[in-house]
Amino acid sequence: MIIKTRDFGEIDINEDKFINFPNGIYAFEDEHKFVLVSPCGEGQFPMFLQAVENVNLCFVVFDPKEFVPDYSVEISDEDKNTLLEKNDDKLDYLVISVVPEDYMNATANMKSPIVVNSHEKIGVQVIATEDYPIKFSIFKKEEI
Amino acid sequence: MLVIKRKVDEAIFIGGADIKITVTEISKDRVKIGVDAPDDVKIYRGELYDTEKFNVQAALNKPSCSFLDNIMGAKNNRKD
Repeated sequence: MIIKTRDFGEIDINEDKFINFPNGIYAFEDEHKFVLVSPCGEGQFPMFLQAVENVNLCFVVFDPKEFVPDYSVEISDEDKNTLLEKNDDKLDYLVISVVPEDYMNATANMKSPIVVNSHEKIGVQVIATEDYPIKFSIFKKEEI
Repeated sequence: MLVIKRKVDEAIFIGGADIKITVTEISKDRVKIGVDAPDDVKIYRGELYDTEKFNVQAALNKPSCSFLDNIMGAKNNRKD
């Protein structure tokens, strides 16, 4: 299926790659279908979380483990239910970033990762109970 | 801001008896708070507002060409 992306024009992507966000993403609760675009190569960050039905809605996302190797977040039972998580399903973590004009000042929200059940293709943005910063400087590697 | 001292299991009410907030547990640097409220009253943790603001900022800041060229170019070159 051809979808329009904000940053990379039209791309052809198989519908089985779509990730369903039953609750949307905070502040964008009406967008339920996203796709991860990996312009740096498969599995390489940053990736772009593009809304399938809204070309203008796209987030630059990173792997939080690139910044904090032992990054881990406890998922509530409610979120596990939404994710249809079973014991053997692998959960992936993504953190949304703000990339300003001077991208060296880019920050990532380590407090509220997007958790994706890759097997079921379901995503939820959770708010960690762990003490992670909401504004983490990606290039300075510290809270700001 | 109104500041009230409470012990475990003590409560405060907001808006008549509509909303009841009870301190249920206190540990070293955390308190557990119970909220009884009508179904139409939404209850958010403070971080949620910050996350909403962050998400809006993230969506508004379309990355510049220099980010796309430098960061992703560098990664692509490394891979090659």
